[in-house]
Formats: sequence, structure tokens, C-alpha cells
Amino acid sequence: MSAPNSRDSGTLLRRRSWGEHPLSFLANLSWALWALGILVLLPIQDLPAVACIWPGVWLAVNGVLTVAILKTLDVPVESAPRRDASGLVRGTSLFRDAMRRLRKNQLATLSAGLLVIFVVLCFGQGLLYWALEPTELGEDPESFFSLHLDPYHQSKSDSFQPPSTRHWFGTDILGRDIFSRTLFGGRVSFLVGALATLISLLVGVSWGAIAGYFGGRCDHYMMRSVDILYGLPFMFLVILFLTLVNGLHSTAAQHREAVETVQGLENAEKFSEAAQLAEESGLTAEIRTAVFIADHFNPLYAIVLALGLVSWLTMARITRGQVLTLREREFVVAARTTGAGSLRIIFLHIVPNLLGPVIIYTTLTIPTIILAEAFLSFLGLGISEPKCSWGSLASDGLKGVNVIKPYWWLLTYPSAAISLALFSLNFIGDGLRDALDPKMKR
Amino acid sequence: MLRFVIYRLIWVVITVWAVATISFFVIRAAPGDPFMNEMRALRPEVREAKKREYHLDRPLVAQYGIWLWNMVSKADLGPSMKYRGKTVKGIIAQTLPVSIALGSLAMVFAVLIGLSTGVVAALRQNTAWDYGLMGLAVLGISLPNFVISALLQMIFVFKLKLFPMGGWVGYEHVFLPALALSLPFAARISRLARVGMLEVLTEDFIRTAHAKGLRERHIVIKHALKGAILPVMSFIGPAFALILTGSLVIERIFYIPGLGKIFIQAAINRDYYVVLGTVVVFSALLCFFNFLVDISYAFLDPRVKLENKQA
Repeated sequence: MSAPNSRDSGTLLRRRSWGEHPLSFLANLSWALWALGILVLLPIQDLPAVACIWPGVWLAVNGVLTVAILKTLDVPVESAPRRDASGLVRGTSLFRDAMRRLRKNQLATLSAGLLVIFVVLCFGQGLLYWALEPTELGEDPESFFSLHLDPYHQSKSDSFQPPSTRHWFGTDILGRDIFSRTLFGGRVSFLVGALATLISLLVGVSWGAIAGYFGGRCDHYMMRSVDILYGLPFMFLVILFLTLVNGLHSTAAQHREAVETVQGLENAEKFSEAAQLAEESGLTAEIRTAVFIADHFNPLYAIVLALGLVSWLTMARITRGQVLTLREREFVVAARTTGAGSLRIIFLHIVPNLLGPVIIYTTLTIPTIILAEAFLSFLGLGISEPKCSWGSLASDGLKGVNVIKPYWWLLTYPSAAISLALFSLNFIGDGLRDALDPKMKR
Repeated sequence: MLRFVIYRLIWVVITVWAVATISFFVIRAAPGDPFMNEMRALRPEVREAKKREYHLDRPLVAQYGIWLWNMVSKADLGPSMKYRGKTVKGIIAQTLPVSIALGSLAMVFAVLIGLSTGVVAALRQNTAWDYGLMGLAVLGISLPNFVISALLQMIFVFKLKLFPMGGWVGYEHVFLPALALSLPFAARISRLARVGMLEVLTEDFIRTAHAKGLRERHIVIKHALKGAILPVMSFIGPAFALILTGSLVIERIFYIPGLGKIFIQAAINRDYYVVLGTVVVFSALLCFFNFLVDISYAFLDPRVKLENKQA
């Protein structure tokens, strides 16, 4: 739009690439969202013709934006920065350099933008549910909130509705809105991914840093145990652990009432009656422990813990490799000569210096964990009804897709959501790797 | 060499034993027993009698001892508690071949697809081929197993009507699940092979080969391919573990009567000995496979020394 028409013929012009233009990120994101929006609108059957204007308007805006960028690609060549004795020459840090490279990677920036929008949507739904559920909007079955944002809202008459203006992503067998359930599932998946990665980060970095720093026999035994753990079929142990947790919860659900009565009697200090009642209803100490654990331990934490504790091994190896070279460096020797303790050196001097590889591996761990969670939920071991995650939604959806009753929307939307999220995360991870470690890029 | 092999074999046995022990106590830590979720509630006497039949009334450590002793001395994995009259060994003998066929075919697919695409991408570096194939590889890594299966089913079953949707009768039933199982690993192998290949292609001996006037095809196959295979070899061990776990989902989607399906069912039903038997078989397979990979790795790369790693 602001293309200079009266160019000074004397200045040298340089053509920037699309990615160098400051507005290209916005244009890319806008185009991607437009395409996604079209994909969402297409299956809606009772779309009023008037509504078709909006994608048209958006398309026009995108077109204008694109043309504007294409017109302003030429910029005057800046003269090379001179090293005047008077002025300060701004240096660049490793991190700033990396960020510059990352900004140029359009796939990575686009993915980051999409991911941010995804996360905001998923957690926004959670926030709105928390805020609006107790109000009258939550009571009214026809309100916007109940139709589009309440993942638990059921209605018999709406069961198995295809995508429409009433339910954008259709409904499941109980008439629950798939749109809200997809957002809810996304929140669960993101939470599990982030928390489990955090656990694996803490354990892996500490383990690797300690092994690498102390070296010798300590290093040998610590890394040997990592080698051994590598060979274990972890997923099977995780599955067994989760069936244990599920068993605890189902037992607790069976006996909760009896336990609560006994508890009430005990609180009223009627111990003999409590003991008698416990005897009659077959309450053993085992069952009471199960109820206690089930009440104080969200099954979500079990998944987080299990997945976090099995995915720290690679992190430990990467960290150790880095620490082995870092510990010989001058700044570590300097810290040691000034009398810093080993743990202080490890966590204040060494760990901050291995952020690069750790960040790369962390961003690549999140999608694997989300994938593992989806896998477990798909098998019916993760999140249980009425809660859901992308995996459990897809599992339900797969049951709904066959020749006789093609309820495709049950499978398509959650699968598309998880695929897009994992895509974005993987592209960001790859982009970060290329940016922080340009040696690996070829 | 012999010392290394024996040492690693001992580790295989110890690992399998450790996994079996952990599984035994984890599955027994849950409250309840296999008979509590029967269709009709059992009378207490019947339940007690059943428990006695399967030695469940003994102390836990004694049960563990009996089970371990039977397994080691008689290769007897115990009875099934849900399927009356069936032994765990019988169930495994029935379902393991199915899983092995599926898994090994998936492995072959993964290596073939992955190596060929990776090598092509490396040879045509920074062309549309390279970008296209690597984009597909990210797709393969990102998509969950169930999405890949659903897509394949949509294309090959509903649209093209080439393959049956599920089941396990003839050869046409094997192809689709094996492909679905292999694609994520093909994608990873492809990326590894590409990086390894690119690294080798810059080496001096490749330039020497070019200088000698060797044909391009000869250089790639005889000299460069080894560089692509080595990183892939180191991934095959973990890939095997992932294929085993992935088969749990695939067997469910394609209605395949394999070991994975039995395992999940038994874990949910608390069919103790079936779970333990399947876990032992799975971990033994996995450890033995890792052992084979380690040894073949040493053969392929003479820089890897076969040494007894004990300090």
C-alpha cells in the first residue's frame, strides 16, 4: 500500500524474500486460519447463504495483505555498519542470533502462531466453563454456552447430529457437542504433555548433569542404569500401572458410600459401631486405602507421572554429553577456585549453559508425550468418561465409523485437532533445532 | 567376542526377570481379584474356592515363588482365570505368531520405505524431492497410529475397495495393518538415513571414488549406503519396542487376534497369569532383539568395540 512511487533513482534496492518481510508472519497465519475456517464451514449443511460473505471478505483481506507485502518487498540497501570510533557497535548474542534464524523459518513461526491460538482456545474454553457453568447460562439448555462450550451438556434429542450451525462439529451418542469436547480434550492433552515433559526435564537434566559432572564411578553406574532402563518395555509397565490406578478408582467408586458412613461414625467417636459396620459391609483396610488414594489422587496425575518418569532417559544422555565438555571450561574452574560447591556449580553454572540442546529436546518431547497419552486413552486406560482427551475421543469416534452408520465427524475433528497440534509442535522443534544448532542443518 | 555375547545374554535374562517381578507386584497391588467383575456376582464360598484353586489364598511372596518356579522349571506360565480350561501358554501359542507376522512385516516395510526415501532425499538434497519427502516424514512422525489407520482404511477400504477392513484370514488382511504400523517408523528411519547419508557424502573417500571415475550408482550402493544404514541400525532396537506397543492399537483397530489385544483385555480383566505371561513374552522378545541389534551393530561398524563393559 505504501509502496514509494517516487523512488530516488540513486538508492540501491534489494529484493527481500517473502519470509524477511515483517508482515509475512501475519499473512501466513491469516491464510492458514482462512483455510482451516473453510474446512470447518464446508461440512456444515444448513449454512445460510449470507454467512458465505465472511470467508469472502476474509479472502479479500488476505489478498490485499499479500499484494501489499509483495509490493513492499524492495527495500533500499543499508550501508554496511561502520565501525566509528565514536559509536558503539552493537554485538549479537548466541541467543539473538538463534532467534533471528528462527524468525526466518516460516514453517516454524506459522506453527508457533497456530499452536498459540490452539492453546488459547483450549484453555479459554476451560476458563469460560469454570466461570459460566454456575450461572444461569449453564442452566439454560439452549444458551450459547450449553451448545458450544459445555463438554458435559447432554441432550437426548441431539444425539448423532452431523455438523450444523447448532453444533459446529456435530454431536456424539449422548448429544454432547463435539466442538466443546475437542477443546476440552485438547486441554487435557496439552496439560499432560507439558507436565510430563516438565518431570522428564527435571529428572533427566539432574541425572545427566550429576553423572557428567562427578564423572568416574558415579558416572559409570548412573549411565549404566540408564542403559539398562532403555531396554525395558516401558509402555507395558505404564499400562499395568494405569490398570492398577483404574482398579483403585473402580473399587473406590463401589465402596465409597460405605466408607463415608464408617468415616462419619469414627469422626463421631463411635468406634465399636464403626468397626461393626465395616465388618458387615466387608470393608478391609485395603479398600479403605484405595478410597483414600482415589479421593486424593487425580487419575490424570497418574498418567503424567507415569509418562514423565519413563521419558527422561534420552534427556539424561544428552545432558551428560554436554556436561562432560562444559565441566572442563574455564568458568567452571573459576567457580571452583572461588570455593563454590559442586551442586552450586552444576545448577547455577553448568545447567544454564546447556539450555540449547535441552530446549530442542524438550520441544520434541512434548509431542511424543501427547502421542503416548492419546495412545493410552485410545486403549481406554487414560482419561475416563465423562472426561475426555483427544485419544479417547478418537477411540469413541472409530467405533462410530463403519459402512452402516458413517458418523465421520466423531473421528475426524479430534483426529484433525491432534494431528495439527502435533504437526505444529514438531515443526517448532525442528525449527528450534535448526536455529540453535545450525551445524545440524544441511 | 564370546564373553561379550554371554555377558549380554545374562543381562537379557536379568532384565526379563526384573520386568516380570515388577509386573507381578504392580498387578497384585490393585485391590480386588479376577473374580469380582463376573457377569453374575459369585457367592462368597464359590469365590473362596476359586481363589484356592488358583493359589490366590497363599501369601503373595509364596504365589510369586510358585509362579516363577513353574515358569523356569516347567516353562509353565499358569492357567487363565477368565477363559476356563485354557492355559496361558496355549493362548500365547495361538496369538504370538499373529503378532510376530504383523510386527516383522511392519519392520520390513519401515526399513524399506524409510531407507529408500531417506537415500533419495539425501541424493537430491534441497530439491522438491527432498522437501516433499521430509515434509511427508514430519507427517508420519506427527500423526498418531489411529489417525494413520483411519486414513488408510478410508482410502484403501472405503474408496478403492482393495483390502478388507479388518480380521485375520488371508494375505490380504496383513498388508494394511502392517503398513499402518510401519509408517511412523518409516518416517523416522527416513530422516535418520538422510542425515547419515549426507554426512557420508561429504567424506573424503566418496570424493576419491568420484575421482577414480566410479559410476554414481556404484558409489551410492557400495560406499555411501553404509553411512545411511548405521544410524538406522541404532534406531531399530527402540523401533522394535515401539512397534510392539503400536501393535496394541493396530490390533484393536483392525480386529486382529494378536498378543497385544490379549494383553490389554487381560490387564483390564485382571487375568493375572495371562498379563504376566504376555509381559514376559514381550519383554523377552524385546531384550533378545536389542541383543541381536547390538551384536550386528558391532559387525557393521568395526569402530564399535565388543568389550565387556563391566568396570
